[in-house]
Order: sequence, then structure tokens, then C-alpha cells
Amino acid sequence: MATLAPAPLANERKSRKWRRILRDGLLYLFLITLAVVFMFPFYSMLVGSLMPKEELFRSYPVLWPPNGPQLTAYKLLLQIASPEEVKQSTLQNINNYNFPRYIFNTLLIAGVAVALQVFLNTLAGYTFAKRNFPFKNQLFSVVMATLLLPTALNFVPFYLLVTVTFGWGNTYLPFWIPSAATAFGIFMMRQFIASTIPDEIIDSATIDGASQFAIATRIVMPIMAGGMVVLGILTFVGVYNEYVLTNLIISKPDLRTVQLFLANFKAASIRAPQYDLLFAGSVMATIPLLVIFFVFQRRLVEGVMSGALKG
Amino acid sequence: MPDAYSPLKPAPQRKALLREMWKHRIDYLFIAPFFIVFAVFGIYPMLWGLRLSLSRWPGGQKPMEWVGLNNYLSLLTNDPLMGKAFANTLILLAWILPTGLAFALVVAVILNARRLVGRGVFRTIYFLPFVTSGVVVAIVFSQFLDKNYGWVNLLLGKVGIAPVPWLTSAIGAQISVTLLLHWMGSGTNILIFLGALQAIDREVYEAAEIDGASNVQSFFRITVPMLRPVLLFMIITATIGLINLYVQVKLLTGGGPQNNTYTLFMRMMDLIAGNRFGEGAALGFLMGVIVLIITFIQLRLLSNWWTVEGKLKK
Repeated sequence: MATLAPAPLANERKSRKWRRILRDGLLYLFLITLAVVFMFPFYSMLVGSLMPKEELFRSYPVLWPPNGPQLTAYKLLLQIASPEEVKQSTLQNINNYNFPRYIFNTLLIAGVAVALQVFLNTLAGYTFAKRNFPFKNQLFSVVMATLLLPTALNFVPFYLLVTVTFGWGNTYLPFWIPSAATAFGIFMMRQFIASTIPDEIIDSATIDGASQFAIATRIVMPIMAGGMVVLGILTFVGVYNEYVLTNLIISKPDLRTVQLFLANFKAASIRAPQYDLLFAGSVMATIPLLVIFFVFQRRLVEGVMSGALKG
Repeated sequence: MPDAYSPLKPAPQRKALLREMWKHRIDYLFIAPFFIVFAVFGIYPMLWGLRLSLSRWPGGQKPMEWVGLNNYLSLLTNDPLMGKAFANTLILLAWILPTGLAFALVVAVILNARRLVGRGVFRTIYFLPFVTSGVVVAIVFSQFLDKNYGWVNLLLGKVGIAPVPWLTSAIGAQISVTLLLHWMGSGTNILIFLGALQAIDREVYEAAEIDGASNVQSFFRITVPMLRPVLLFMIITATIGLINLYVQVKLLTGGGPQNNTYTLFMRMMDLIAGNRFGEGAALGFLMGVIVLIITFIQLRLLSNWWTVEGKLKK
């Protein structure tokens, strides 16, 4: 019996090996299909932006422009199209749309919001993580409790307060001041700081006579640069993509953001959507975010995995 | 001793407490911005909104007219769009929560496999939609799901399925919204699940394997219970997100067809657009209560389900 044993065992090992290869193959097929599904809308947006509207809606969608890629839609939006191209475009008032200005506005809103939020939330996060003072736990519970309040709860009175009482309509202050410090950011920075910075560093700096502000800005912030980048990106993406509040606050054409422009443009042309221009605008609106995403993707992915988004 | 301070203390100790607080004034200064901003832009409008919700006020210089609970009553009993919006929110919740969580969990478990090549690339790609805005996604998906010129119907046609009116039929529109939200949000959920999975000690699984547990058994008996806090977090976030859902649906279906994707937040924006601020404020409080109730029910259901699981195990 002992001599018979190896043969069936080898057979079994072989079939197990094949089963594993088959299983792994199906697994990778699934993962790759999924990757295509997640990337395809980006690609389809790009292809659509390189085609004239008539081609886009003549038949089923295509993987590549049949008459070669054209940059007309981009030129029209960036206002560098030739008079000929402007005349050919079905849109009469294309010169009323100042797309570069909208990009600038959006970057300005998001940039200032990120600077404010990252700085103030890191200060508060450090204080809650490393300092000890009366009512600290009670105050932190208040911060956490506000995370559970849905935006809708005080949306109408908030809107009226900002526009009527403070008169901030058609300014960018509503995107900067009310969210200058956020519960989400404080919680995230507190978690990061509590788990990375040892108490000894702060203790020894205190003994050396460093002020609280110096400890926060010269010791904590340089060590926490990675965490601050993650918070910065999450904030940037959120503010850059904001639409609902913008829609209510901004009515002057020159102050519009990219999202507001695209949404108005889509809504205004329900019957005959200017998909070529919409796609070109969407591509240009998404590019800054994609650049940031790919530059910091490792840090961002690890930040989200380590619970950055868990309120 | 972080908890040594208590507000209820005899007089001499209260003096010491005040001195202690003064000593820590810089700490209070550092956390002050949040509390100032929350008081001015959170609590104050909430209190004022309570009064507003009991009044009729078309804005401008006109006086506020006290109407008692009328705004709430008319929203609850006399506003057909409101009932539709509430029903739609529940339907979307029922579509999105189970499918979204199950999908993200399955993908995360696969990505967590020990010998997986390209894990970093896959998780980055799945997370890519995170950077897109609701506006852009709605634009792209409205072309994707177009009945005559869309990618989805093109692919379905290849396998012999007649064109589906995705955006112009009730169920089709609800599925479209669900698909859009899954595409946007799954990557984040996958990453959060993956982070939680990697935090589970491998030894727990090895011990279970030695005890003769199958893969399926360890998934339901170890993985799912260990993910309980993460699951709760996602369910609550998804509920709040659905209550605030607006621009994606507005631009994809416009709330239609026949208001079948009309959301609660759309109702609020319509009330604001119609200068019906009293009713808008009342709707805000109703939505807050709805979030509370749904969250509470979910917590109860989930904890029940877990105790039943726990008992079955014995």
C-alpha cells in the first residue's frame, strides 16, 4: 500500500493545481473587468470631447472618433477658436462663457478653503490629541456629535443667514468662513497625531521653553505633513466639486465655478445637449483633480484605508 | 487623569478649576475656531430655523407670520411631492445599501487575498471615481444610459436585449441613480473595508482553519462580525448621503419620470426657489428626524441580527 500511495496523490496535486489556476484566472478576470468599468467613463468622456456633437449622436457610441480627434470643443471653451469655428458651432453666445476664468475661480475657492481648514484643524487636532485641559473630553464629544447632523437640518436658515444677514451672496466667504474648522478634519488630524507623534517629543520641547504655537507649527506640523496632505486633498476635492451651495450663492456670471457652469449648461440644453462642449468642459474640470490624485495616490489610498474617512 | 475635571465642585475647587482653565487658555484658543464657527453657522441658524419653521415668511422686508405647526402639517399631509420624495429615498436606500455594501465587501475580500499581484494598481483604479464631481458624473452617465445612443444599451444589444429606457422609466431611473452612486462611491467603501480587513489578525483565520472551519464559515463567523463597526459607519454615512442627495439626480433624471427619482433635498431646493422658507426650514427638521429614525431602526436591526448570529454559533 505504501508503494501505491504516491500515484493518486500526485494526480490529486495536479488537479488541485489546475483548479487553483482556473480560480485565479477567474479572479483576475473579475478584477480587470471591474477596473475597466471604473475607468471607462473617464475614457468615454475624453473620446466624446474630441468629437463634434453631430457625430456623437448619430448612432451608437464609438471607441475612437471616426473622423479623427478634433479639438474644436476645447478651443471654443478656452476662447481660442477661429471665427470660422465659432460660426460653425451651434452655440451663438459661446463668447459669454469664460471657461479659464471659471477654472481660476474654482481653484481660488478650493485653495483658500484648504489652507484654512488644514491649518486650523491641525491646531485643534493636536490640542485634542496631546494636551490635557478642563472639559477636554466633553468638548471633544461636542465635536464628534456634530458629525451626525445632516446638512439638510439647518440648510434653509443657514442659507438665509449667509446671504441675507451677512450679505455674502456673490462672494466666496460662504465657502471659507463657515467651514474654516470642521469636525471631520479635527477628528482625522487628532487620530493621525495621536498615533504618530510620541509624547516625549512634545514634553521635551515644552521643557526647552517652546511656546504652544511653536510646538504646533514647528514640531507637529512638519511631522504631520503626510496627514495634512491627505486632509488637504479630501478638502480640495470636496470644495472643488461643490455644487448645491454654489448654485444658491453665486449668480454673477464672472464668479461662476466650473461645476456651476457645467450644471447650468447641461440643464439649459435638455433638448439638445451640447455634449461635445460638456465633455470637453468635464475633462478640463477633472484634470486638476486627476493630477493631484496621481501625485499623492499612495498617501491618499493609505490614508483612506487607515480610516481617514471614518467619522 | 483626563477625567479629573468635573463642572460640579464646591466653591474653593471651582476657583482652582477657573485658574486651571486660565492656565490652559492657549489650548482653548487653538480649538476655539471650530466652536465659534459651529455656534454662528450651526447652532444659531438651527434655533432661528426652529422659529422660522413655525412661521410663514417669503423673505425680504416682509414680516414673519406665526403659523404654529402648519408648515409641518402641510408638508406631512398636504404635499404629494413630499410623500413621493420620502418613498423614493426609502426605495433608493433599499436598492443601494445591500447591493453597495455586499459588492464592496466582496471586492475587498478578493483584494485582501494573500498572493495577489497588482493589489496597489487595482485599489487605485477603483478609487479613481472619488475625484469626479456629481455634475461631471451625471453628464457622463446621461450619455452612457441614453436609450438610443448609450453604451449600456449598445452592449445589451450585442447580447440580443432590446433597448432599455433607463432614464425614462420609473424602475430604470432608480436603477440608473443606483448605478451612478455605486460607480462614484464603491472605491471609497472598498478601501475602508480593505483597511478594516487588513487589521484583522491572520492568526484568527488560521485558528479557525485548524478547528475545521470552511472559508465560507470563517467569512460569516469571523470577517463579518469583525467588520461590524465599519459596517455601521458606512450604513449611517450612506443614509445621511442619500438624505442630502441632489445634484446627481437633478442632472441625470431631473427627478423624473413622474417624480420617481424626486429626492427630499430636491423638495428643499424647490421650496427655497419658491421663497417658501418657513416650509423649507420645517422640511430640514423633518429630514433630521428621518435620518435619526432610519439610523435607529438600522442599529436595532443590525444588533438583533448579530445576536441571532451569535446564538446560532453556539
